[in-house]
Amino acid sequence: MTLRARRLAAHVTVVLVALSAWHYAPNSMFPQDLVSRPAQVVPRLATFIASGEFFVHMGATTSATVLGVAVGAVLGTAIAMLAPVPFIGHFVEGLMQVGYAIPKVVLIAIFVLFLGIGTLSQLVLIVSFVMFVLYFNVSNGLAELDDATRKSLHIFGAGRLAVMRIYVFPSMVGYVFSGLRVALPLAYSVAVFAELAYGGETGIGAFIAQSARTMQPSGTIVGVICAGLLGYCLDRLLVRLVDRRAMKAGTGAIAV
Amino acid sequence: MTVHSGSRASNSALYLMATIVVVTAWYIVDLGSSSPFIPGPVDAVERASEWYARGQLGVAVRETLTVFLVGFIVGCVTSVALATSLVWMPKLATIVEPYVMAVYATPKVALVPLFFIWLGRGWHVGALFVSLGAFAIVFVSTMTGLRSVDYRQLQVLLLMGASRWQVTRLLLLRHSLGYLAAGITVAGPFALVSTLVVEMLQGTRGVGGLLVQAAGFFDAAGVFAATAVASALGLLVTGAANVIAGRASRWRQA
Repeated sequence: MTLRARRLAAHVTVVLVALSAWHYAPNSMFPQDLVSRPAQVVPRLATFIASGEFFVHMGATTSATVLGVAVGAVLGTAIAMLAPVPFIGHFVEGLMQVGYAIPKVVLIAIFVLFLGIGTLSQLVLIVSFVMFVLYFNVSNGLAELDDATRKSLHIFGAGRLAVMRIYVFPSMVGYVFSGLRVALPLAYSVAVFAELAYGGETGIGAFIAQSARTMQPSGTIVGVICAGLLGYCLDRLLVRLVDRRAMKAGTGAIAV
Repeated sequence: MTVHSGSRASNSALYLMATIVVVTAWYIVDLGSSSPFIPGPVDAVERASEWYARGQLGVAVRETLTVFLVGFIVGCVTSVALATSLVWMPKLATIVEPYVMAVYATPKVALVPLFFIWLGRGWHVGALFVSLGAFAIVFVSTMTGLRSVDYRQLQVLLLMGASRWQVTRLLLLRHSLGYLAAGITVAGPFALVSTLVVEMLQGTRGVGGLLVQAAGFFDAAGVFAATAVASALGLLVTGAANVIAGRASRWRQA
């Protein structure tokens, strides 16, 4: 047996042992109405997908995450670009340092107070997380810029805007993408948290919370499995996108 | 995220200035508006001192810090112990590692309702959740450190008759300390966030519970007061994590 096959066999054994322990465990040890059984989880998953609930909930969480990341990325990058402005740049730096240290999950209560329960307050919470990650990444990137290159571009007759276009923005691509790589899983967790805490009707977190509230552990477990899978897929998708884009931009400065 | 400008003193001045400006802006907004949903800083301080006088605030902060500390320490110790012992069991490591990475990748918030169903709603559920998050982060960073240990150096030490424990202490732990410190600066604030997340989902304990209860009564001043307390805890934990990381890197250089 090759090493690879042996490793695969080990994993299959681990999963099988875990599954059968879960399935055959005595009720006194693992009460069925609390931990469910694989034989109940699999049909629940099937009806979850067949009824279309799967797509509604996954779609809601995905769109909130993606939209939040997009808005937060633009905001964070824009704020980082303020850094060279003499007084404001320094002040913004202080604000962002303090803001970064604040545990922003608690802000959901304030957002819900102002914006109501639902997608909007969820979105604002995601943005408040993503913004900081992108801000710190891009301002690190800006600090790495070479002053001599900038000056020689000026000497060759490039205006402020031209320097931005041909030097600053292309150099930032790598930093923005590595920021996105950190921000996306974070944004996704925050999206799920917002749905769990103040869930409306839709979203995978809302589904988990509803199943838990009505004491349906098989539903809750199906929700957790789907949440894990979606998180994994989003991350993989971003990596693919990032790799291709980064190559196109020709920076190769991705620090993932 | 590194602090990349100025010394520590100028950074704290920056912190202070930013905080003062935000509170002043908040005060001005409050003066200009008549909405009951925007309480002023004075209202928030009043509510906080009310909580303090009734002893609620002290209990809440103590509960939050207990869950945070227990979870964080358990997470750090188990991850370092597992990572260093896996070095001596490479076969087991290849099997265990994908599962740890799976834990790292799952959005752990989704597990909280399951934990509540299985384990009840005591403080230990919060501690378990916090330790899981801290464990994943510290494990990954410690593992990165251990991978960069010079393998020949390890062989030489063993050849010269060092025991496994000595190699672990003198080479492995010492070498990966910088990575461990980096992990702690990320895991510390993250663990506090996890603590607050559990408390908010649970709704009865700690600063998070205070916040959710205030929100439930549409008590805007209470929501702002609890948010301010949580933010202060956040600044405290971030500062402490940075100090510990600084100490660790100085000890390594010494």
